[in-house]
This record gives sequence, C-alpha cells and structure tokens, in this order.
Amino acid sequence: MRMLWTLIKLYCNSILRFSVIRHSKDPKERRNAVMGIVAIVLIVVVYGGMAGVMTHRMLSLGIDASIPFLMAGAMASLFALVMAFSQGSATLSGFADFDTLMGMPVSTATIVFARFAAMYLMEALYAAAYLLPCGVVYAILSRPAWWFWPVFPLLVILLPVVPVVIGSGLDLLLSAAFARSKYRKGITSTIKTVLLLAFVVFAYLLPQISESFFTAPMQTAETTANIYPPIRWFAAGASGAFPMALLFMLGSVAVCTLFVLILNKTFLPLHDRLTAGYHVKNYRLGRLKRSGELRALFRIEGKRFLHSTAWVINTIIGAILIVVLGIAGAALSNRLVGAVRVMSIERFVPAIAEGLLIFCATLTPTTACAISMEGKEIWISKTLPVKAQNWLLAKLLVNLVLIGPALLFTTVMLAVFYRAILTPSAILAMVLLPVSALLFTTVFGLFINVKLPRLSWNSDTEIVKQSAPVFIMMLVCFAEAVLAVLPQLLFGAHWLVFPAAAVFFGAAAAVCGGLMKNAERIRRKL
Amino acid sequence: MLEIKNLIKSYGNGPRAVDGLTLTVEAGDIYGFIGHNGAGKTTTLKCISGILPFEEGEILVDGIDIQKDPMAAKRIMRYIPDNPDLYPFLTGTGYLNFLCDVYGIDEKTRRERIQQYAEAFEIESKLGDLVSSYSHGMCQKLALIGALVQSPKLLMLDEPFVGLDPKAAHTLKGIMHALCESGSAIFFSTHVLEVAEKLCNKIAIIKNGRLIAAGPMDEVRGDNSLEELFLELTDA
Repeated sequence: MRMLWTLIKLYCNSILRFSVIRHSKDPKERRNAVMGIVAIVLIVVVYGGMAGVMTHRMLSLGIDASIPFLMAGAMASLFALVMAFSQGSATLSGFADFDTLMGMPVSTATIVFARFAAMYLMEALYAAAYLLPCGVVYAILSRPAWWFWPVFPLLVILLPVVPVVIGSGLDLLLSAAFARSKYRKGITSTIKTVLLLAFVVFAYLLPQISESFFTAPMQTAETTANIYPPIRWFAAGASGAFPMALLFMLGSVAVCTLFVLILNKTFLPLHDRLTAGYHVKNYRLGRLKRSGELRALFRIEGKRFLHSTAWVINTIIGAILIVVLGIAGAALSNRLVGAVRVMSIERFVPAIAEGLLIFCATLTPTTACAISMEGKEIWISKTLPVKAQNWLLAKLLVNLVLIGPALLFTTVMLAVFYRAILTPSAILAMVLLPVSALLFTTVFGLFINVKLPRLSWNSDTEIVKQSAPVFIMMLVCFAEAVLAVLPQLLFGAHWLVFPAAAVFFGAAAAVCGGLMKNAERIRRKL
Repeated sequence: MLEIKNLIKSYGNGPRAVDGLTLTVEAGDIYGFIGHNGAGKTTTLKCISGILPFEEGEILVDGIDIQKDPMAAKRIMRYIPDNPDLYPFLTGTGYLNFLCDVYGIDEKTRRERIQQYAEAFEIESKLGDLVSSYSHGMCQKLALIGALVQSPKLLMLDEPFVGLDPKAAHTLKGIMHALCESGSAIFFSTHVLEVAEKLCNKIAIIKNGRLIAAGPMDEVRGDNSLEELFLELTDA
C-alpha cells in the first residue's frame, strides 16, 4: 500500500509538477509549472461557476433536483470517457519507469493501479469542478438529509471510474490489435477519430436534430443516461435516493477492481506488445526524394503530430466539429431557414454561425504544444542550419492545414445553403471572422508555448492535455468566441464583425511579426 | 577551425559552469576534451554548437562567430550529444533524408554516403525501422551517420564511444582519422582516457569550468600516462 501511494504521488507529481515548483532553481521553469496549476484552477473555476449557475437556475424554476446532476454528471462522464479513450494506452504503457519498477520488488498490480489512478485523478478533478458547485447549490436550496454531506463527495470522486475504465480498456484493445503494424499510430488515430465522430453523430447529433436548440443539453444528458444507465443512479443518489448512491458507489468500485485484476494478469504481455517496435525484413534503401527546407520541416512537424494519438485526438476534434456543422447545417437548411423566418431571428444567424465556427476552429490549436512536443529532440532543431523562422512557420502551418480546409468547407456550405437569409456582407463576415480568429489562435498558441515551454516530460499526454499553454488556449478560445459575437448579439449591429476581424488580423500579424523577428533568440533560449 | 576565446557560461544565478575557457582546434586535429563529471565539457560543446547561449567570450567556427551568424556556422559543423534523442516517429532513412534536405545534399550523394556509412556501422537493414525501436547504440550510430553524411568541417562529439559495440567503436575511430586527414577537425569529450591517449593528437583538461591543461598530447602528457596526469591535475 505504501508503494502504491508513493507511485501515485510520483505520477501526480510528474503531471502537476509540484516538485518543480518547490525545488527548481530555474525561475522560468518554476513559473511554467505554476502557470500550469493556475490554468487548471481557472478552468475549474470557469466550468464550476457555469455548472453552479445552471443548477441554481434550474432549481429556482422548480425543475427536479436530479436533472442538473444528470446533466453535469453526463458531461463529466463523457469528458472522462473521451479523454481515457484518447490517452489510456499511452498513460498505462507510456511512463518510462517500467523497467526500473519491474526490477524492484513491486507487484504488477501496484504499477497498473498507480498508473490508472494517475489518469483517473485528473478526470476526478474535472468531475469535481462540474459537480461540487452543483452539490453546494443543491444543498443550500434543497436542504438534503445529513448523509448527503459525506456521500456526495464520494459519488463525485467515483463518477469518472467506469468511463475511464471503459475508455482506457477500449484504447488498450485497439492499440494492442495494431501494435505490430508499421503504421499503428496512424491506424489507431484514424480509427479513434472515426469512432468518436460516429459516436458524436449517431448518438447525439442525429437524435437531437429534431429537438429545439434550447432542449439540446437536456437531450444530451438523456442520451448519455440511455447509453450509460449508471449516470441515472448517480443523479438519483445525489438528489436524495441513498440506495441508488450506494449502488453507484459499489458498482464503480467493483468495475475498477475487476479492471485492475484483469490488467494485473495481462499487463506484462500487453506492455510487451504495445512497446515492441516494428521491424522491416530485408530492407533496401528506396528513393531518397529531395525537398526544400520549409517543406522538410513541415513534413517533420506533420509526422510528429500524427505520431501522437493524444495530440491528434485532442486537436482534430475542432476540425471534425466544423465539418459536422457544415454537413448538418446543409442537411437541415430547409427546416432551419423556415424556423428562423418564423421566429424572425434572421439577423442573429450570422453571429451564431460565426460564434460556433470560431469556437470549433480555435478549440485546441496544435501550436499550443508544438514546441513542448519537441521534447528532448530539441537539440536537433537547435543545431541544424535551418532558419528559425521556417522552424516556427512549419508549426503554424500544421494547424492551418488541419483546420483551414474544414473551415473553408463549412463556410462555403453555410453560404450556399443559407443564402436565402444571409446578405452578401453577412457571408463575407462569416468567412472573415472565423478565418481571422483561426489565424490569431494559431500564432497566439505558439506564442504562449514559446513563453511556457516544457521540454522534459514522460508521456505526451502531460503536454497535450495537461500543460499550461493548452489550458490557457482553452480559455482564450472561449473568450474569443464570446467577444467576437457578443457585441453583435447585444447591439444587433452586424457591421461590428468587420472591426472584430480587423482586430484579430492585426493581433495575429503583430504576434506573428514578433515571433518571426525574435525566432532565432527564441530557439536559442529554449 | 575552432577558436574559443574566454568563454563564460552560467546557469541562472548558479556558479560559472564554464569560466574563461580559451582553446583553439586546428584543421586536421582530433582534439580530446576530458574532465570529471560536471566539469563543464557538455556545456562547452553545447555553447559551441549553438544550443546554449553564453554570457561572455567568443566562439569562431572556421572564422564565423556562432553568435553573430549561427546559420553559417551550423552549416559547417555537426554536434552529437552523449545521449542522442532522435525523432522516434521517423524511420532511420526518414531521419537521414530529413538531414540531407536541410543541408541541401543532392539525391545521388545522399544515397552514396548513407549507404557507405550504414554499411560501415552495419545498420543498413535497420534503416527502414522506426527510430523508436532502436537501441541506444543504434541511435548513436544513426546520429553519427547523420553527422557524417554532411562531411562537416568540424565534428563535435560528446562521449561518442558510450553505447557502441567494439566493432562500431573501431569503425568510428577509423572514420575519425579519415575525416581529419581530409582537412576536417574533431573535438570530442570522453571519460575513456586510453581512447583519448591513442586517438587524439591534442588534449584539453577541464576542471570546475576552467581549463587546466591544453595542447599537443605529448607536450601535455610529458612522461606520464594520460591517466596519471589527469588524476594529478584534477586531484590538486
């Protein structure tokens, strides 16, 4: 038990970097670690605040107390499932201490459970961010029975257990199935992306098409509860049904125990399979095609991106959502145009479309972790005679190539299918504003990563999902979408979109200019 | 080929990792750089190769100042760290081809050189595998090939023999001699004093960031063995 606790502390330390904050003599490194914690706290406060306000509104309107718990619980469970599915295998087999630990008198179950716990605790933190404010608001307004106080925190802590088990289990199976293939990273990334897309479209998007915009969150929660019934036990338990709370807690513990027991028996061969390299037989040198410096750097950057499944899943979701938006928008254009006309809200359509496009296009730019992802290989970029500007430009291009075509596709689709209710200037604005926001986010993501680089890490998940620049960019994305469209919605003045786009373009040019001007110094200082 | 004048480098507010180091490596030299752990060898090599900035001093590579024109300096030199972390997402061939793209080497030459050195280090059959599947020694070999295909004027190696099998170490020594005979220079750090003694024509000893001896091997060593000299100087 002592060893398990030591390992959990070690892995959490590796993710949250407390020892760096306490012991590092490098102020820059310490600042980076502190910023990571600050960004997590900000995310927790923002999402927690939203969940608290939502609960307060619903309970004030006399809605059943289990509904807000169902919605927040569904959100936290979905988030945990997607995260575990994208990083489960990498976390369980990715830490570099496996050989060292296996050479020590430590049981496999301890290693497995500690790694699982490290992944799960982050999800538990997010679940607590959503649900504790809901619980506090509920307790203040509804005065629940005494047992609510000790049981509710336990329910919240246990909420992500089953989604994390399912997500990481599926990821392990998928990774093991393609472990012997040369293109295993590409194959697993593609399959995961397709599965996630199919899940979003078939489980959520299509059933909700008939629903109104305002009931969609409720419908999402209902759908999640239908797919994953324990979320109903959770919601019922949190809102007063003790047997349900007990059932949920015991079920979660049982599933987790079973998962660890199964992994304990299979982890050694599984780890061996997942970490074994692919070997080509009778290899002969093929054609060595020549290319220019920028192209070569862009190719390297692209391959680095595709090699990290966590990075792909984390960033491609924005492009997927944009494409889904375009296709769904086109498919529903007749009905939506009719509904918009009936409600006389034509003037709000461009702002809503722009807001959605900006949110999806800027969700998680690849640039926010592009420098950190170089990791220990940074010495290669620093010693090669490549222009530092090209080195940065290649990183910017990856994000633009990933999101740009999707954005273009959807803006064209929306412009064509909604031309009946959109003026030419509204169509122009619908292209200009998201594109300018994308450009700004791309360069600003790189700027933040330049300011807060982290080149020493054990698993790419630490960088892609848990580093300060990524958290900061999540907040920036949210702020961008709100700030870009809120003035239009408040003042009903659509022309405001042009100064907003000009601000984005100007800011992108200024940040990009600064990066390019100081590129050599930036690279040398890393 | 390499001139280091009064190099001073500190990490943050800590003590000087390199303190007033002055050294000259000429074309054709195989210059060994020895010192105890933490003496400042790797820091010096990283400053020369442009990885680390430094506070004071000047580093000239074939007359080019590494701080004023790093691109031109990097074009003629290569550095390999003691533990070369290479791109795990590329195959061996992919990595070498990328380097050749950066150095603008034409297709015919890159093929010839890659084949020549891959055969010498006996990893031609492994070049199609992902670097992530390579052992430490294979990464070391690939990094060496990556440096050699550019025929650098100055080659800097940090502990190049660590991790290499005896045959590869022997091959590397032969290549180092051939490279220097063609007019290039090699500056490398090592803890293996026997290798330095046999391989190098010049040697420098560093202690706590300061150079305590430097020059032609016979002059520096005198009648002692290199090991005796090293222990005498570093224990003093």
